[in-house]
Amino acid sequence: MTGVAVAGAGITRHGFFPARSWKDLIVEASLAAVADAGMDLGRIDGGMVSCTLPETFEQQNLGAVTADELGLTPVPFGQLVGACAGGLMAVQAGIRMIQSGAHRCVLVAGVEKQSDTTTTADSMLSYVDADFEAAAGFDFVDTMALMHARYLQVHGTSEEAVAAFAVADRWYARHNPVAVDTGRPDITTADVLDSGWVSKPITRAACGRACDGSSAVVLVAADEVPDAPVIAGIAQATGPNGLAAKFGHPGYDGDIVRALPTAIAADSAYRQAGIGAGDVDVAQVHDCFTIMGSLHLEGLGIFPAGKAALAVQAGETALDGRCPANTDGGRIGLGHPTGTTGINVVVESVRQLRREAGVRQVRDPEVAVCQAMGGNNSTSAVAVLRRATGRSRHVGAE
Amino acid sequence: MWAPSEPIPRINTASGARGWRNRHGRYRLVGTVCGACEAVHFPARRICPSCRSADLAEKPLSRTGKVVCAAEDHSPLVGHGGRPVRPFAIIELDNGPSVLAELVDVRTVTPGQRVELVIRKWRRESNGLYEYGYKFRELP
Amino acid sequence: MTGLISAGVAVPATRIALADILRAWRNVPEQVVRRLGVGGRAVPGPDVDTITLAAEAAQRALTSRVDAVFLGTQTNPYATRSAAAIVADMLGLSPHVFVTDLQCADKSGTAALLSAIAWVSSGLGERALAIGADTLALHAAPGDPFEYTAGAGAAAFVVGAEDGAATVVRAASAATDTPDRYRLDGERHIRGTGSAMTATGVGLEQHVKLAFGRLGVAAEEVGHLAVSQPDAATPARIAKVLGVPGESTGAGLVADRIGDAGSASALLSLARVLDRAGSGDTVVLLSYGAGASSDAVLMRATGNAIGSGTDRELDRAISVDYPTAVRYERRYAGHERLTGTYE
Repeated sequence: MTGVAVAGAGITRHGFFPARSWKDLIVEASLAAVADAGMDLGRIDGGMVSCTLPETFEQQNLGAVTADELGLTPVPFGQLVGACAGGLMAVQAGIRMIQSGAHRCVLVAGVEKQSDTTTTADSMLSYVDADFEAAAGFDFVDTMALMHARYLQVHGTSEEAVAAFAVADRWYARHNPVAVDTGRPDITTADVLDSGWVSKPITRAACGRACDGSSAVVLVAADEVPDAPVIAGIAQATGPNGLAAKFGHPGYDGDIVRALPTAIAADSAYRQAGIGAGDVDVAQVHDCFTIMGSLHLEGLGIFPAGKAALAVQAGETALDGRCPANTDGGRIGLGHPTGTTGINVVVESVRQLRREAGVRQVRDPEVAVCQAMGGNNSTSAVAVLRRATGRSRHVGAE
Repeated sequence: MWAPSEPIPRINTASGARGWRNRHGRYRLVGTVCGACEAVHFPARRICPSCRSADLAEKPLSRTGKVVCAAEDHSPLVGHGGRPVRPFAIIELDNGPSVLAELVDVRTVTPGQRVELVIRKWRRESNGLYEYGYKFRELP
Repeated sequence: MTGLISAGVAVPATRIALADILRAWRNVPEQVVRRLGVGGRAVPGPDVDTITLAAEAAQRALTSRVDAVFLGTQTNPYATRSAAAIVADMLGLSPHVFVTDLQCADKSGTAALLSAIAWVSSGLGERALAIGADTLALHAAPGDPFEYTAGAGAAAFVVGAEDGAATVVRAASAATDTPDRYRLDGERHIRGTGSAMTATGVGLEQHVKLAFGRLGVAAEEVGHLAVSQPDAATPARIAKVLGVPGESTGAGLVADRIGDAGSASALLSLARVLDRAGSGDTVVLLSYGAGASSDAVLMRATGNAIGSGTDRELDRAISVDYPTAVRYERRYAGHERLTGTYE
């Protein structure tokens, strides 16, 4: 147990917002999280900001700028970058701030404003290997197309099974009012497969939706808010950044068909929480493409290697399935503002454990697991959240 | 004909140095061989990931290899859009490591196919320089 | 003695049929296009330029250490940087190498070969690499008759102080101020100055005659004529002008499949000849560069095939249509900076 609880969570609508800047978004999400915690903004005594593509709006030092925008200066605020896992790594940093005893109430916010450039894929290039992969013209959809192709090759899985992840995501997204795809009709695997190649075998509808968005959580010591979901375990692991370098890498099984950092981080987070994969009631995984969702469900041990896509196709991640997954719509349905994603998974876990997810509510969840990946499985963070069992006490009461 | 006379600022215009210093890797697949455990790496490394030795020597790797698994880029990045579709693959070189590379002048790509290195343009840098590097084509 | 030891060539695999270009423009009578004898011309892929072609040909030619690189081209993508220096680095040659680029229109390739021969003969070095490479296709204006034949390619030879596949006997050259075809500084497209300069023989015919005439070889002794070929009809035309046997141009014909390879043309022709020449065969290399100049080299084949694999490269053909060729060769005006496609 980390001894840290999530006192409040907030999230903005995800989508494309030409009139709104990153500051508009991060202030909205932060105020929502603080309000959700039922506390005054002034209680925040430290903060972390996650953003993967600040070059889209050409601003760095986002910790200080965010503190200033929130009127919180001189409170210490930092910025953490870990590709698309950065949000969950920022949460981990926030937990450490509280555990250190130096802070009592930490705001962790993620923000992305991908629509501020004409070429998101170009900005994302700084995360694949810059010298030999990005320069040769490969972005994430290309590297993950190879993981997709390799998965089909090694496990003999059908394209339909892999595509089923997007179908499940879109159902959840339809019922999530902040999702980029909220209210949009359900789709079928045929729709996913017929949506046109982006990087074969990945089709358009199999892609996470690059977009604008922000979310934030307020972290406090668990004993201060006994009714808040607690973070029972959190860990992060790394792997080689280059895709081809994973073949034959001693720290990487010698293949690209397994989300090894996810498996290593999950093992550690589960041990901290005293659970096993079978105890997970609801999971949020990094489905930046359909194939990645399945790889990470396998990495988390929720389904055996090579079986996750089939399980998703069989409905085992649906609301009435064995382990509902990506109940906010995931990267494909909610949207994938990359720096925000690692906090979005915490926000949805909190909603589920507090049983506030409405139509999307999983039945009586006690344990929620969330995960975020950065790079080509070059980093992954996993957190285990537990439903609070303590009595209610308002945070503001001293 | 009208032409803009004002310079267009770009925050990230690479100097000539960045691409230049890794040209041996791009032109000739120069990787490293570990003096302690004989592991071969590409790209070149500073520490051997197998045994953590820093006793590494540069070595040009094999110019031939075989396709491990392949995919096809239908949404090329800016600067790589010359062809509407770019086949690419993980290629296992004959003497060890694997590389991610584009395949050129091929009609179909199948795992196991033998390929050889050809030098082609990768992209033009924002500073105007052409960056050349390895791609692969079918071995006859 | 000085000989040609090994050779390698590179030709773009993508080709366009002249009939496809004709369909797009219909600006030249069909029988005139057919008379060129060119079925299709090479289309450099979007990632191909003179430097990549030169590097690929040189890599295939390189069987031993060389101490000099002479690269002849009129289409170096850089106005000032040495393409030879870039290619030498791509080949992994020692930085102590002598490099230079040579520019003499379409005879830049034979100028490079003669420089390499001179380098070795003079004792300045032991082995030299000579490369001829061009991408004329990138410099043909859309709708210009030159567009039908402007191709691309590269050929490279290692020259050394030994017999090799062919021994150099003698060389001769010719040059005058004859403005028949040129590209101006700052312009992309090569201009022709009309049939008065190209069809009357004032350029091509006069210069090859002048150079060949100084070789001191009887016309009927020529076994193989490896010649610059802006189209596939030119070798026979030159043979007729010189009075050499018509069949001497057979082994060296390459333009029928790839069009005008510019500075590489005569060297590609020579590579194909030396893949099959018999022991003692008299081989004449003859180039023509617009502007105008000619080089002629008399060689004696040893019967050791040079192993350039030219046929293999010529056979590696993938057909593309006219819109694809326009896209590959970027013969259109686009945004200075494109926008992306991924969401």
